[in-house]
Amino acid sequence: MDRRQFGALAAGAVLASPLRARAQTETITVHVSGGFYGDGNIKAFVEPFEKESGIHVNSVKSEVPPAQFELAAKTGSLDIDAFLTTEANGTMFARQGYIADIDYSIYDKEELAGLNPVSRQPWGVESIEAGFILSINSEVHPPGKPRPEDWQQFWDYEKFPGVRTLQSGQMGTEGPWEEALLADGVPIDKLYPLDIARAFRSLDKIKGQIRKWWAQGNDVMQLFSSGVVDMGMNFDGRATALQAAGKPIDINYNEAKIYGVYWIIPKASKHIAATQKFIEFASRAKQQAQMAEITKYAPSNVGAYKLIDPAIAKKLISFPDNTKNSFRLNGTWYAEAGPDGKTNTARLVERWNTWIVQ
Amino acid sequence: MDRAVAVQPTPADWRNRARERRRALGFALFVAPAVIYVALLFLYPLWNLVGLSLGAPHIGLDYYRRFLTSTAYVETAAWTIGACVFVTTCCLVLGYPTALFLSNMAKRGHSYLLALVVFPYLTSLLVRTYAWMVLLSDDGPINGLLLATGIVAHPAKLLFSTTGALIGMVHIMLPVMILPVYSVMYGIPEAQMRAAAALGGGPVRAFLKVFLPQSLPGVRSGCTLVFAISLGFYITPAALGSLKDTMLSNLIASLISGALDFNFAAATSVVMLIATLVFYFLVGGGLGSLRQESGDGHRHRSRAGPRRWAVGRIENSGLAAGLGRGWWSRRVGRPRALPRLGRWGLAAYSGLVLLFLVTPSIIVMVMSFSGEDVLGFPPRSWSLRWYAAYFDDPTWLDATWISAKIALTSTALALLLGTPAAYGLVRGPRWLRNAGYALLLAPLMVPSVVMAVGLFGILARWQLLGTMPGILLAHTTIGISYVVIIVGATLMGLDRRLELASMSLGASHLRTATRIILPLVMPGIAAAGVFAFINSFDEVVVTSFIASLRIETLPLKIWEDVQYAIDPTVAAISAMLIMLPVVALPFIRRRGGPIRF
Repeated sequence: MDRRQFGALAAGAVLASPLRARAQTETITVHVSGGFYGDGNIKAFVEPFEKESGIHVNSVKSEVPPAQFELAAKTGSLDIDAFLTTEANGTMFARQGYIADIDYSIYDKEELAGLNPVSRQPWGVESIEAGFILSINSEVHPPGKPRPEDWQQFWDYEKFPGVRTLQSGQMGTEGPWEEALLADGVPIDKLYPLDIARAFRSLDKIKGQIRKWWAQGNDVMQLFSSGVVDMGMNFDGRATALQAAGKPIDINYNEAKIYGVYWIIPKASKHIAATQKFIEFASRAKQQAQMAEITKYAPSNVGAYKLIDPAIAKKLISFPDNTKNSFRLNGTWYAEAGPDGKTNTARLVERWNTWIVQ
Repeated sequence: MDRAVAVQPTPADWRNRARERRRALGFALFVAPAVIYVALLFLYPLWNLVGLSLGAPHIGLDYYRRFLTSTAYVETAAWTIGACVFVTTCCLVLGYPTALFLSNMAKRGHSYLLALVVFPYLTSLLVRTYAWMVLLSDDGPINGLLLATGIVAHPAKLLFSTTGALIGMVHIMLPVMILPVYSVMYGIPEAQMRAAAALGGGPVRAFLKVFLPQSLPGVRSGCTLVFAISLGFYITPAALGSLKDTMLSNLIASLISGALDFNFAAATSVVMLIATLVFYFLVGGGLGSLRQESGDGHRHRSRAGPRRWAVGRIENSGLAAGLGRGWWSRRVGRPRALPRLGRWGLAAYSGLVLLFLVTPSIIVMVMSFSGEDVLGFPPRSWSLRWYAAYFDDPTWLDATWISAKIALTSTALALLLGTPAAYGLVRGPRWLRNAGYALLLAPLMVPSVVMAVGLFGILARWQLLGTMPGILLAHTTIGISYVVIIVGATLMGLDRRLELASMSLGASHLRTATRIILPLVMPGIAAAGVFAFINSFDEVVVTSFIASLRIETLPLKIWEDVQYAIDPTVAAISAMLIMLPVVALPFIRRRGGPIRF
């Protein structure tokens, strides 16, 4: 029995998949990620798009690690048509030739003008802007009392006591690197290229004070909502969600790290045209405003600010008042490879795995 | 054939030998499908891993060199092995006296107390990890108790600490230690202890000289199992431990999902496999840990002759025997003379251990009825809203349905392949039994991450990664092991004379198997089905490696929610999963047959 027969035999043993029973309309499969962010993607983009276009969208709510994407692209076994990914990974995949170019010719001129150049890359369209901010439990550390106002003060655990959390660096593309350098005195406009050795020296100083190095967005939400930690690095969207749930969380936008999440289309997709339509739809100001109101993540299309409730707008990370002293995560630096072929991301992961056991 | 010529066989001898060979061939045919399956989905993936780790097609030790020269990997490996040795030691210290206590209990209470070991064993790893997250948290019950009694002034850092990770791992592995040790102790004849006493040995001396040495095979088997399975820990330390409690499994996972360095992941997996084998040979005495042969045959001497050989050997096979004895033996529990001294101490100690085993489940069940938005213990108000939240959410129901489909199909496949195999192994010739059991039970003894990485490679090649058939094939492998253990144990409890009668009345092998044996072992098959079903329904480690893109099984969704959600819906689902074996097994037991507990 060869492997194909074997596979067929096993496939026959599985009961009919619900996908097979679906009608013959065109179906695209879109990675929307999990948690309330995934729900936001479905409500603001997927459902209205299905209604308008008649194209059926199959939403994949699980996390898709970049390596899965790479493997699927390599083996041609990819059956997801749109992925959400960071600037660093998008740049890397584009360089490896896995991504289809975005067709900007189908975009309305006014909508296109709302997208900053950094938001409309040849390989991807920005979907939301999010940020890493310093969030603090305002019950434990009320505004009048001394509490850290920037990363340097956060590192000063003797002057500002409290139970701390930082993001884990296990993924490399995201981690407490910039925060560590800011704490060590690197000016905010001179962060890149990151001094990896200096970042780890700075992390050494705070290592013993970190109760939990969180890995995912809802990890950190759980940490703050259960009161395990009372200050630390957080996603702005998670922090505003906690506020909305009535938790005593204050957000400090000083030295916030802003990054974009992009839609990309793998070259292997069999529905490129329909997927282009979906991504174009998702970048419209109206949909972007809806997304911002649901998730409190900032729109990539600045035209959306005209439509967003002002009370919500001032809580978004790209709102002018909030960006006085923030910086944008440089995804290109993370994707850069040295002479040995290793990307900066890979270098960070390697250092991280060694550092945690020291 | 030299020997045959030398002894001048008569024509009758030749006929006998030919018949023996035909018989052996017949049994081999029963076993063959399962063996081929396990070879294809277990041995081949492991073989493939070895190839990848050597950097096939260009053979070399580059990846191993990289492993050995990397501080991160060497230190993580050292920590992992250290943690596994620690967990094994703790399990032995807690488990040995408990097994002793259980094997000495009188019939009635015995069955129920043994259930306290078996049910946690069948409860999802994820649920038990989740329970410890709740128990160990700063505002959890343990800290509540510590604060109330004034032992600590501030909540102790239990969650996200090495202590927390180790407590969780010990709790998860404890049944795996108790069951084999118990099963061996159960087989030690009480007459020997009485004899030792009659000959003037004090209770302590009798224990040390007579009982302890005979219980060692169980200890060896328990230790090797606990060690091997602990090596595969992956979710528990990540959820309960601190930053430095990273195990090799976590690094393998990040190599596969983050860095996509498959060859290096393969080399790391092979290192784990080697560690497992070294431990087997150091502690378990080689393959002895798979199926030890102790002086247990004795117990069955009074019973029908022809099956004595089989019972003595296979009923003793480590974990297999623990599960087999606990559940399928007719003659569970009998009072035995235990030195009066220490009997109460032993009972108290074992009581605490059993309490430790069941408390997390109870806490989760209580929390599932919370009326609060966030987890806290004890809940301040009560409601069924989290059960309603589960039944109202189509994504939960979809995930449950997907898991049920996979579990049902893989259980059916496992029964189809495993039942004839069990028959062939129990009734077939010795060489077949030895080799067959070693192969078919091996999937239970390999760290799950190693299996996951192996399957990842194979399924990717077969284009089955992230598909239902892929998950199904993976789950069936372990399912077959369970079916072989439990159906095998049931078959051994069967009176062989019934088969002989059937055949002497002219029925063929096949006819005897389907008409006589099958109906008689039906309860065992049903029970094996429950084990296989629960195993597949709860499986998360292997599934998380091979399902990631498109298929969300119930355990994967629970895992996502444990990390993501901040409400107690997971507690409600966990409570239902805890109840699954509690409801399913006694139900089958009541259908009669040789199943008792």
